[in-house]
Amino acid sequence: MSKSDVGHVQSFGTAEEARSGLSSFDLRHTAPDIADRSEGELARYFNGLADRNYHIDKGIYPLGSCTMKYNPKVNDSAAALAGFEDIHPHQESGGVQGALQLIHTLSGWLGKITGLPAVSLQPAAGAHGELVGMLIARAHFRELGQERSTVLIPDSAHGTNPASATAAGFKSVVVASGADGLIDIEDLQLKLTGDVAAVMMTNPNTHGLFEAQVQTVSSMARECGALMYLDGANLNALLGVTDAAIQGFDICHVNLHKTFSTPHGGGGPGAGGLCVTSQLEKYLPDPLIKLTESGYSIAEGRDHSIGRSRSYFGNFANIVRAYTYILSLGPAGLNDVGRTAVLNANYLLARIHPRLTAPFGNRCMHEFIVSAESLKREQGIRALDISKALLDRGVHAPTMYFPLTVPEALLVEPTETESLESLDGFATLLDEAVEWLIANPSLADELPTTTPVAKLDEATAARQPHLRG
Amino acid sequence: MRYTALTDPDIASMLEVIGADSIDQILLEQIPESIGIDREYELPAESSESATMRHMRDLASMNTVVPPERFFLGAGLYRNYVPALVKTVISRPEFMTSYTPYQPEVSQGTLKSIFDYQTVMSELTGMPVSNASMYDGASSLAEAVKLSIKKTGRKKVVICSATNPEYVDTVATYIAPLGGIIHSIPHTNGVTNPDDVRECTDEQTCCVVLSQPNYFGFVERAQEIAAITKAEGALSIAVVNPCTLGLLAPPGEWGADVVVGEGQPLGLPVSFGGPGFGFFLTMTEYLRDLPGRVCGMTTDAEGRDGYVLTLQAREQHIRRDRATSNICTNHQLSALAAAVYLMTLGGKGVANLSVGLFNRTRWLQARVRESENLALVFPENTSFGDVLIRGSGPGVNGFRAARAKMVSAGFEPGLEIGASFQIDDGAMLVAVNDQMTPEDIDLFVKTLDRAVGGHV
Amino acid sequence: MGDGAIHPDDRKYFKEHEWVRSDGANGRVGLSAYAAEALGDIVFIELPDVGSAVTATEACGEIESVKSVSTLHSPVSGTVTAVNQSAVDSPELINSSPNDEGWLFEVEMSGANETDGLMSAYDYSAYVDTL
Repeated sequence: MSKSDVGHVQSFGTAEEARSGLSSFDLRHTAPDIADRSEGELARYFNGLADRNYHIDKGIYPLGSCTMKYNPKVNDSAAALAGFEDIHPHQESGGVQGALQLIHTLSGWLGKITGLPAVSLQPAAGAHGELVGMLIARAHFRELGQERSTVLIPDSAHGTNPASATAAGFKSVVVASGADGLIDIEDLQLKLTGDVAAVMMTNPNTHGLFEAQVQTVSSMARECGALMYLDGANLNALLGVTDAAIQGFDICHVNLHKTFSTPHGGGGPGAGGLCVTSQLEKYLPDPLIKLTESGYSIAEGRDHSIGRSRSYFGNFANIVRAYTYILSLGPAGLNDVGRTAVLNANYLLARIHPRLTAPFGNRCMHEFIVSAESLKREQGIRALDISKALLDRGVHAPTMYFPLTVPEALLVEPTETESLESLDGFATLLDEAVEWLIANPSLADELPTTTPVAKLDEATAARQPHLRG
Repeated sequence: MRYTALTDPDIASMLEVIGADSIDQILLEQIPESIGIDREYELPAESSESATMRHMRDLASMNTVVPPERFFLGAGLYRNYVPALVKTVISRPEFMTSYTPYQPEVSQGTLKSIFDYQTVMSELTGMPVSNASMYDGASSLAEAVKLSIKKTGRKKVVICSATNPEYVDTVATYIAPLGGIIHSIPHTNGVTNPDDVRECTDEQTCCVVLSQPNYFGFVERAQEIAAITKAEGALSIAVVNPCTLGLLAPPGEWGADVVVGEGQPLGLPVSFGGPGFGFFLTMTEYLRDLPGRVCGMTTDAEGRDGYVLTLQAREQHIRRDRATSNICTNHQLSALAAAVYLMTLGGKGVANLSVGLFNRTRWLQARVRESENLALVFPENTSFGDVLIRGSGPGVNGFRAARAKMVSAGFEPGLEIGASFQIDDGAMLVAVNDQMTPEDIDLFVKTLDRAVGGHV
Repeated sequence: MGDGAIHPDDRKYFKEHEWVRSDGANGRVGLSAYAAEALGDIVFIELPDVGSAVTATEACGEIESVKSVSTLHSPVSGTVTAVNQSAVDSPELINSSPNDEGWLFEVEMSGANETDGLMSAYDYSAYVDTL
């Protein structure tokens, strides 16, 4: 049985007839070398691959700054409705009012959640939102006739921040963190010149700490004419707690695939969302959706827009999922998300093995850092070893070696969807992993041993790249 | 509440371990009063799962869904059949709910599927190196143009004008901070004249972007244009419709340096424009300039084959402000769909897919030629997938009136593009997909013919 | 890692962890054993072109390990006369033999006093102990 529609193909003509319709220059001479396998074989093949993956439906996935929360299934059911899946972005707007209303409404909701009312859901991911946000900063200063070439970024920031600043034509200058894990105001003062276009912060920051002086930073930036950018990767901690506007931010991106539970898909697709003050709305990318007397309409070719940052309206299926999530939870549910995320993280922090040090004290927001520095110094046990020992015990490891500010860092984010039993289970496994390594430091380099593959030779992979079969 | 698991006694015992009276206390220890810790959003109250789905169905039903065999709109996104296995595989939580494979020992499923994706995309395009995916065709093209600016140190971006305008706009957005300037080569009767490329391309040119087939569905003289491009030391960037590559020469054979495009037609629904994925392939020479993730094969400590994300020093999490791109999250699950799709078809199936689409294109053209009130625009060109048509005859101009009639007859007739591309008397871009029978196409052309002619 | 033997005393060291062994006119540059160890598996290097000018203390290339990228600095000023193609082709040589086979490039130095400001092996070893 063939999997392609030979019946239809033949009723339109043969392959020879098709080939006769093209010049030999334009013709492919051999079919792509892709094996012909039965559906049953492929089903088994891909299910076999699936068995070799860890995933959130299996267990805790405590990657710091990644917000690996459980992804409610109703979101996927909604996204799979034919009225969402089978519509084309070039259909006339009269025939896609439901989609336009959904995008417009979610934009409004995100405006309320961040306090920044003008929203574009076009960005495909967090980093894409950063790029769009930085391009808006660029457009803003060009309109003011100001040449500002620098963006200030704390040393604890995600790598995407400086990369996005560069992509928008800025140069990044690093601001130090103090011993308390918060932005060093003196260092900021020193670097906050008239050349600074924006201060790009993450709050809570990647140390899992709330930047208590954020309003001071904002007023310093404002005095200097610079914009404040919030990397919303850690927005989960702030749901029902505070918003970007109160903190003084002008621009903020939201990761729908973190805070608003759209599945990560093994690396994507995610969805961004860029929220700005009403003063900056005119720069938002094309198209924007507007509510008019005759329904929802599509505004493009807007005078001050930075232009398109990608095609169409964004990752619509994930926009549907995030909408479904917020609709399900309502304000009380969102409030519960932020507070439970903070509770779970603080509980896990309180239960962490005493040989791991918490460099910034015993309180955190939705995630926290512990360091294996003393274990490394005394017994050669690294954050890497602890991570691999956790994999061996059947759970996923925290984010390791990030942020760069703390040596031998493990960044742990349990999220609100873990139960007490799950948190206790993880804490116990972490204890076991550390104890085992203390007892067997010489075996650390051989981990992991119980995973589908053992330690992989990453050096050879990079030295002699083998990128296709 | 639905997605959190803690009971009140759980919370009490946890607070005791933490040494705090309440969650609010934990927050107040960290957040200044001037900011506050209590936001009550003005949002609709929580809703049960069934009520939520009811609401979502109501919203979805406000959109007009046209079955694929009556859906003649394409312009880069196509309603091809998605084999059931594709949906089954990408719905598995192991693929759908896993993170980026940063711990490779417990992510071999994702990693091997990336490797498979890179393999089949290389086969399809004839290019040696593929990354693991980009956001979409437009941003993929923008990254390709940036690569060419970086590699050549030049800033003149030449784009053959019959390129998806969404893509061109995106390139403009991305390259503005780099000082890149777009020079558009106007089409001549729907296609790019190689002489115009020769005239426009010089020692300032970083790349020439050519769509094959182009935005109007016309097959371009790609090999000649690539040769002219390379003679000036510029990079030849190809934007391709992947569904044509079972029949059209792979761009790796006609001289493309970078091949990009939209992967949606390979096993994904149109979903109002996203997520599909962007593919990005290039020559080994530019391996270390690739944006985004790439998977490599290696061995584990016991000598077994294994897979890792590799060449990571290019990426933002390591190279930060000097990364090749700021991309982090990509479109992995969509790329997986494409891998399953292409492996389900197999090489012969891919050839059949392209043959079927090309023969449907020719079928549609033949019916248009036979019609009373329709004509092909630039009939001397070869069309593949998309066909540019116009109304012809007395009292016929454009499609505005006809469109409403087509929609009420249950068709999605296509995209009007005449004015924006300097094509006279209006034109409509119509597309075929692999779910159409001869009768479907016959009925469409007949209905459109009558609608354009003023009949119902 | 204060063992002088791994940092031979026939050469001078720059604080960014490059060594230079010179005869007064020409210098051969490499990465210190300390740095080679600290970086881990080196997978790719980018060296200055032969014939190009390098300036003391300034960036002239890159060294990539699996999970890091570092700037290579020239410890001396001058014109590059040779690069070690073996190290380019097999960067693992820098890990296995940083002081000898894994050398990086050679420079015709601008002057005989180019190495004056650099550290001795003893001072460099003491310096890396403080890191």
